[in-house]
Amino acid sequence: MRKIGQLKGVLALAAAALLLTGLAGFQDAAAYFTTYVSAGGSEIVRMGSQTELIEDVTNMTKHISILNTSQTNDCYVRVKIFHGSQLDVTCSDASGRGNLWHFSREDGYWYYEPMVGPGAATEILDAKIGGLPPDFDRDSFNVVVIQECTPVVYDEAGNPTADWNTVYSDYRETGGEGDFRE
Amino acid sequence: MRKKITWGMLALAVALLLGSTIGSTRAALTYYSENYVAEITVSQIGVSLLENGEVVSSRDYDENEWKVSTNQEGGSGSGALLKDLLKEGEKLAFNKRYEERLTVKNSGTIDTYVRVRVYRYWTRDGRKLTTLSPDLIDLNFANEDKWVKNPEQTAECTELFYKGILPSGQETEAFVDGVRIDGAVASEAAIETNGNVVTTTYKYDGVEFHVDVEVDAVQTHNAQEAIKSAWGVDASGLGIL
Repeated sequence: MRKIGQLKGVLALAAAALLLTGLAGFQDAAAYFTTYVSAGGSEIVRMGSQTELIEDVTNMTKHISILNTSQTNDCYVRVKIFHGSQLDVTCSDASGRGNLWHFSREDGYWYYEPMVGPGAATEILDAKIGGLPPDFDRDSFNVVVIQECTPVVYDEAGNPTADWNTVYSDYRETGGEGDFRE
Repeated sequence: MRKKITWGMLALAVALLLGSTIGSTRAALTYYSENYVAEITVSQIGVSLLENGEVVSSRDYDENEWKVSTNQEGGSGSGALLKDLLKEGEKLAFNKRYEERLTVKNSGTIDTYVRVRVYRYWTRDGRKLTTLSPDLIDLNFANEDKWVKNPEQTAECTELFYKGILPSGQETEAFVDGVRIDGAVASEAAIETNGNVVTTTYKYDGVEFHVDVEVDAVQTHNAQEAIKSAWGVDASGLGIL
């Protein structure tokens, strides 16, 4: 019984020593004045485009226009015209200003200068088909128009521009592990 | 006899411990008493984060309580950034440099040292996206002569220390002055042609970029130890004292 009493006494002393040691440490930890603030923000990046090629033919001339059918995104467009060597196709800017379509000898594309807003269409580029032999079937000729679009980016000066050098890499919807982190 | 020695040693140990604690307490009391008399407002530390000149979040100790205010409705403890990044009807454009001037103001009554942590990351549907590089969220870190970068930063978190003391009432130079989303985010796309309609679907359409900022301030008194205790870094080694 006496031994138990002694043990209790030792334990009480040890507990007191621990408490005092803890308090001594707490004094140091609580000694500095600090404060903090935080803030955060986010923005969704919307991408995606859909364009439709509109072609009307009158008097052996294709009237070409591109309609931006996207609901949200501006884009830049360009077209390239392919035809057989027996045909003589001459393109001309039929826009009101007359200088919105520009031909590049380097790559053979016709570039539409202004950006095309959602729901808007380019002005007309005419492709006149000439040099036709007398027996040419005017209801069946092969002049193919290829259209491309690219999203609006900005240059270092802050001006909107088109980056036609972007090489798109295909992707697959994997949804696999590793894409996300909680 | 042995028991007596044991009890004697234990009593001596407790007496020594008590003595040392009282000594510390007395020293601390003296230490604080002197400062308290000299600077009645010693405890009024405060800090504010500003975005383009407007306070978005502040936390100041005043009249024995913490006063927290933010630009968010609903009493959130955290402020809102990027609210005015785009004008009404404006769409986010790639590679365009948007003004995002972030500064810190000492809104307390004592001088402080200041640290900021800037986080940038991508999410989709509320989940963090790890396949898009945080570097595509191009924050322009400014005034690098005044803001010292922690060399051990990660791609997601940049830690900056303001060099020197930020006096009460003063505002720092901007640590960030612009943000730009790199057009490379649109480099993966599937292009589908259906008749005369061409549809381009981008892999990262609908992702969300985030910029989060944490600002910490600490007293200048006993700065080396205070900074070590609060931030865990060697202030002298970083050259911020």
